[in-house]
Amino acid sequence: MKLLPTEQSVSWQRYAHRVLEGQDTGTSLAYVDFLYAASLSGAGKFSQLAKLDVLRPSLTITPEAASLRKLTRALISDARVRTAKSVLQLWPQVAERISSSSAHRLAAALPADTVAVAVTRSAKEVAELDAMPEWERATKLKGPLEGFTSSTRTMDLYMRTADTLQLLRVDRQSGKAKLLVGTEAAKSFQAHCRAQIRKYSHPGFRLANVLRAKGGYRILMADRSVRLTMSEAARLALGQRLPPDHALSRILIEDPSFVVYSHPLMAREGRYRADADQIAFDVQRSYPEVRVFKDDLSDRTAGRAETVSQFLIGNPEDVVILKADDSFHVDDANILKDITDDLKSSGIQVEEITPHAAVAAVGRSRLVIVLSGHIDAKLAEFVRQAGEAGYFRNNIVAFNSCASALTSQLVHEMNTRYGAVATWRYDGKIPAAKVQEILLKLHDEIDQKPTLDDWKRYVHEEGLSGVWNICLLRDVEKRKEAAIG
Amino acid sequence: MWRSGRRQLLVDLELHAVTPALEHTIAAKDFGAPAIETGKFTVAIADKPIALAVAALSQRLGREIPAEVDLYQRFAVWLVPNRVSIIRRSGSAEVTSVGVECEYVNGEKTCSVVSLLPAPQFIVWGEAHGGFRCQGDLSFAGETLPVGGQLGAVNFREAGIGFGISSSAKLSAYFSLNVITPYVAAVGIGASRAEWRFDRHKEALFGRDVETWATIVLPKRQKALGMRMRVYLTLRTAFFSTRHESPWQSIECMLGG
Repeated sequence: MKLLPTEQSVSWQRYAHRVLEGQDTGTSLAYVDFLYAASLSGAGKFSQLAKLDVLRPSLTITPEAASLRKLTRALISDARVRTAKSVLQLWPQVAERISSSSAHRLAAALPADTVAVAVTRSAKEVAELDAMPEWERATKLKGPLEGFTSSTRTMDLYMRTADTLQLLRVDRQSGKAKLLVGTEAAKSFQAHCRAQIRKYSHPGFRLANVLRAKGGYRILMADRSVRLTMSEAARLALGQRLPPDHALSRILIEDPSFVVYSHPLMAREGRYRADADQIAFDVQRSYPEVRVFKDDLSDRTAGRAETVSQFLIGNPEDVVILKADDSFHVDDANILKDITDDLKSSGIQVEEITPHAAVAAVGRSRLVIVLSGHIDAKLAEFVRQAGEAGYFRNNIVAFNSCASALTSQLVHEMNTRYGAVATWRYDGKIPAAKVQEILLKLHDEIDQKPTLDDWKRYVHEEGLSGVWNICLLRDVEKRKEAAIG
Repeated sequence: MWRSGRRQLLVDLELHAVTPALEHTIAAKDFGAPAIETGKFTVAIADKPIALAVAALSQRLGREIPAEVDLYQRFAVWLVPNRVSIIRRSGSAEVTSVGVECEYVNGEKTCSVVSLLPAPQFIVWGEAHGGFRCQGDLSFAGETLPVGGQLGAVNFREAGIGFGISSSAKLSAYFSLNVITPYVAAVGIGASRAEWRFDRHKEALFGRDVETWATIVLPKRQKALGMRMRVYLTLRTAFFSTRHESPWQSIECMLGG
């Protein structure tokens, strides 16, 4: 194995300069050795390392375990490293010994085809992800880790670096990992999405996967695909319907329930989720008679969508508005205090959640309304406390909060961690005045036994849009739900 | 006596006073329990006030509230009156100052005083009849601003205040009300409590209603506003001044004007 520069006459100092200037990229193994030597020296800056001619005799040393961490740090700190694959192939110990966070940072800094090696040590981590509840897993997807799916045979970890999708597929039985890169990974992902949509398609519910395509979007369904140009998407964003003969218009007339698929790569905030959310919100805005859902598809999708579609507020007591105790410092722009008397006068329940609220004997099949004027950690604390107290379980939740990553996470938790049937989520910012107006409309019409289509109408009348989110309960949540009974 | 046709039909009619209280002398009138009873002076707080909606006033002036006035999406702006009547029953003591304290009680609901009338910056001296006037621009958001120069015609009067279209500002109407003294102090903007003090100029501060107004922002559908009021008087007999203060009195203001 050749570990020296090809030009023997090049001094280490000059060589180091060339490497640091990015002129020498061909002598990668020598550079690796240089980095290794440099890391052994304990010096922190390459400008100083360039003078370390004296280290040349140490180049043939096999790295000791103790120094691997230093090498890793050197690799991470140098974004121009192009030889990490070689490093990791030469010294697999690197991949095994670095910490999880270092692995992610390294993976983010390295060329695409080396990532899987960097996370090989994370085969164990993949198994940990598999065992986690859905809501918790979403919080773990960071750095290059984009999404996760699992089946009875495999666990699939999706990653992305340098705009290339990678799929690390771990076989459950053998524990062996296989890396699919680029087109291969993309094809596998698309096949997974197609299979999910075909599997869970249900009469009356149009399941659709929204993908950004050249010049617009592609909406993939079980039996067809619809192309949406950017100008058509812009039209939807303005709340304007597409022509009646447009494929999407025809589909929405045929199937008034439109379920946008939350595929595995939407588990974390990113362009996939943003694209799908936008199309879902805009379709709902432009076709108010259509019921738009977002879901990651399961055998419960149809049932939950049906529950939302048929939900009727038979009595004012079927509506509960959760009020945060002052100690949560949740900012709701004083809406609730201003209109509580009005709401109570029509029989709507307003219940206060305290920081130590015990598990309450909360009714089932109710519309639970949560308000917020500002999305922050205090709101999250309040929502989680209400969830722990059982307010969301088997109820439908209208979450009146502006769109944000935390909102998405809380909606996800309300559905998966706390067992809500579905949760209403808004598009964009929602002014307090409009939320107040929506609640007062509900109060005004409560005697007419409004449905959730009426709720949607109130929202649209205020110029806002939102969709119902349903989320899959994975095995972990199902077990927890069964235990709670 | 009643005459009908050729026959004379004589009918005796017993006349009843439409407002019995008007048939009595002021000293004998029943104003309910007085806030202050000194023996020489009786002070009563008007306990049935009715507020005026600024939105309704602007509508009567033919001005729609522009959409950019965000305030109206959640709130309503009310002109809330606070009135005190001061009667001298006997003696020759003079009222040298009157103070009116108001606390607007609205629980945890929104309640914020936006402006106060009268206030010193709106007092205009030199009226033709030698009196004083409190006038200015009233914005649809309830804020008041002094206005210079002559005002246009008053379009209508409501509860003692004249309202007209303002020439100086697009979004406002002007208001105009008479005041008995130019020496006015008013504080409380931005709070839920306000206080006025009137010091005597030439005209007596008794034998009349002392009227103050606060523009207050309240939740949109509110029907009534709870208030607590207290009055104090400074009386002077010869060279001696004495201060008299009423207890707090709870009243309810109807938000229906």
